[in-house]
Amino acid sequence: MRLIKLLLLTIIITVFINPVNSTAVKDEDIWIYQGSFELGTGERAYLEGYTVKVDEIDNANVPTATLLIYTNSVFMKSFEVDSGVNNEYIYDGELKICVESIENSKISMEIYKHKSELVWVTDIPKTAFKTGDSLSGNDYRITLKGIDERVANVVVELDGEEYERTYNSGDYEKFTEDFMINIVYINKNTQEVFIETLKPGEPQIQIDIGSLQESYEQNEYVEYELVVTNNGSIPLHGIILTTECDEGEAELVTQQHSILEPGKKKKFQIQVKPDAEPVTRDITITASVEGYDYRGNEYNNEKDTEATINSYISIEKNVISREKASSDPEFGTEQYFQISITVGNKADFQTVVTVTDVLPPEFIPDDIDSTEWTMALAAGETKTINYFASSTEPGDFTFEPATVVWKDSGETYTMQSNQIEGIFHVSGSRVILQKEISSSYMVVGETIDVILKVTNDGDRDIDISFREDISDELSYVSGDSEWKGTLKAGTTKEFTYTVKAERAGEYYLPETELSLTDEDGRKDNVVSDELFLYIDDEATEIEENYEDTYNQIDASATYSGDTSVADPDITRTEAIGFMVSSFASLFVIIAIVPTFAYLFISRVYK
Amino acid sequence: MNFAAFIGSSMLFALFAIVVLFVLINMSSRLALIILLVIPIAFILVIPDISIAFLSIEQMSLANGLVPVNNFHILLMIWSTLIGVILYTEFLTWYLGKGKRMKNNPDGTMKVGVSATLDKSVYDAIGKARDLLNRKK
Repeated sequence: MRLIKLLLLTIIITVFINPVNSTAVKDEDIWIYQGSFELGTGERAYLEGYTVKVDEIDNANVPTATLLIYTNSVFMKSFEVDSGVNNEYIYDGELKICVESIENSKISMEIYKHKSELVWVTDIPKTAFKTGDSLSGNDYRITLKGIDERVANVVVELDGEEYERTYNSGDYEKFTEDFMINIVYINKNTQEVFIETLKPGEPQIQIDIGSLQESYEQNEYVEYELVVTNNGSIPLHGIILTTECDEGEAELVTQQHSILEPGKKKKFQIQVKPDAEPVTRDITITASVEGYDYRGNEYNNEKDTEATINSYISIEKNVISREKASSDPEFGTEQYFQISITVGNKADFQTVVTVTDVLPPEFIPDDIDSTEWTMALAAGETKTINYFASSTEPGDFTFEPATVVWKDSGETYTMQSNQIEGIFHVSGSRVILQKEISSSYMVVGETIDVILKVTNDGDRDIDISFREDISDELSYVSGDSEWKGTLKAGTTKEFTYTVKAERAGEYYLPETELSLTDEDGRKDNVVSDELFLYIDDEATEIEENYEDTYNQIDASATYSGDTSVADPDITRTEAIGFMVSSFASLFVIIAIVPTFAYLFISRVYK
Repeated sequence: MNFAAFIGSSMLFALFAIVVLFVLINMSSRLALIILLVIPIAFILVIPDISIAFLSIEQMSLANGLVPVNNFHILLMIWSTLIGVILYTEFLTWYLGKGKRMKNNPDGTMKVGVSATLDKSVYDAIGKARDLLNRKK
């Protein structure tokens, strides 16, 4: 039984050994560059599994520094380094610290970590060679010269030099830091050799932005994720993310990460506090990532992120339609509107703002004189204005955004609230009454038509009734001078009646009063205009002439050809009075001179 | 301008003026003054519509239509003319009568009347004018 178990274990181990061999070709035991650090006393460099802390810096003739090493936060060792002979320290064969300089109480050092790491990647994949076959790469050429027993005879031409080698199955050889050959398998039966070539891999930095909001408020951090992906073929070390913003302040200017395996991602949280500005604007945040490969070659990438920062003043408008109470005795519309405007100040100082709201022309605000408010907003304060408005007419209405105006450093800034989406319907009753007459001039005995046009402009049926008062100067002839009935929503009804002129003169037709009752029993009246009517005396021809010439452009020309009497209304007494007064006036005027002469002569020559 | 109305009106006004002047010369100036006023008023009293219509007839329009002239205006002109004639007739009659009375004054205190002085000055003026004319020759 034990033997069987042992056998099984052997099989399992054998199965897993092969892949280890294949990947071992691509890995190398090397000192992996972890990053370059400049640390002061008490500062630490965080590495994968290790922490290096500067305990003390002695600025003597030959400056020295005492470093402490922690493994997983557990103190392991303390040692002294300087920038001279003792500038390199290897801890436990795992960590190599190379001091570059110790100046101004700062120590600059590069840290390497010993590791077997993937270094090589396939250049030319596994290819079957037969004797005489050759294959060319970038700057090399491989030729299979022959196969002898289990050994392959290969000629490698590299950089103008020729190397002849014999390899067994699974052999590999590093010719330079940039080229390696791997004899994967020699098939003796088919006389084929499978060869692949390898080259050093490269990390590649890709930066993506995640969870960036559409806009940020003035008093909050611009916070988003920066995802760094190593799209290369070998790990990236000593990753340093630097965040810069001209219009704000990054919370963490630099962030570090020790290693990023190929295909792996690392998420960094970016936090930038934007500067306070009165207007909404975009700020650019530049994130640059740099990292190193195992040899210390630097790789970097940069990404600009545009973030929208809202103005420190915010305004929001909401409109809610409400039904009027059925007990509301007011005739007309059935809805009213609750309008709320919220104004906020996200700056860290007080601001005086003027909020203006424009209602549709048919609307009247309730209990307020104007829809303009001036208020002081303390730092971080938010105020809400609530008011009600109702429409004087039924129909469909849209609301305009509210406006806020404020001053900052002598400049005036204006901001509009959000657009109010949707169309608001106001149900109700509205009746338009128009009264017309067929002619405003008539002669006694003539007839004219009085036309009443009643339009129900609302969306509710209305019961209407009216009764026309006919004045004494006119007499009713025929037609609808009174009516009672229901007028459907959106319809127009016309009533016409005929009247006859009885007496001459100038009159105003009395206004028509229309009684309205809506579906809920609410009552109202609509009154028409008064219409002017001139009734002429049929016997007077002059007025006809007058009427005829009234509309002519050259009235004086017509008047000069007319030999008729001008004023027919003068009575006998008036005429006599006028004539007597005229005569007396003439007599007095003419008699002045002889009277004085008479008086003078009489006095002188008595 | 209606010619028939013009001629008819002219005839009526002429007749009216002749009657008044006849009364003035042959009868009495005071009576003429009364007739001057009474006749038009009598017509208005008796036939008011026709009289007013007659007086309202526009005979002409002067100054390019700016000054319409009706029969009433013509009546006023006739009135003013005849009132002037009657008043000055009356005044001159009185004046001349007064001068005559003063000439015939038996106490001789006032030998030279106003008319004599006027006559003298008129004669003097005429004499001077004659002299001037003779000198020129």
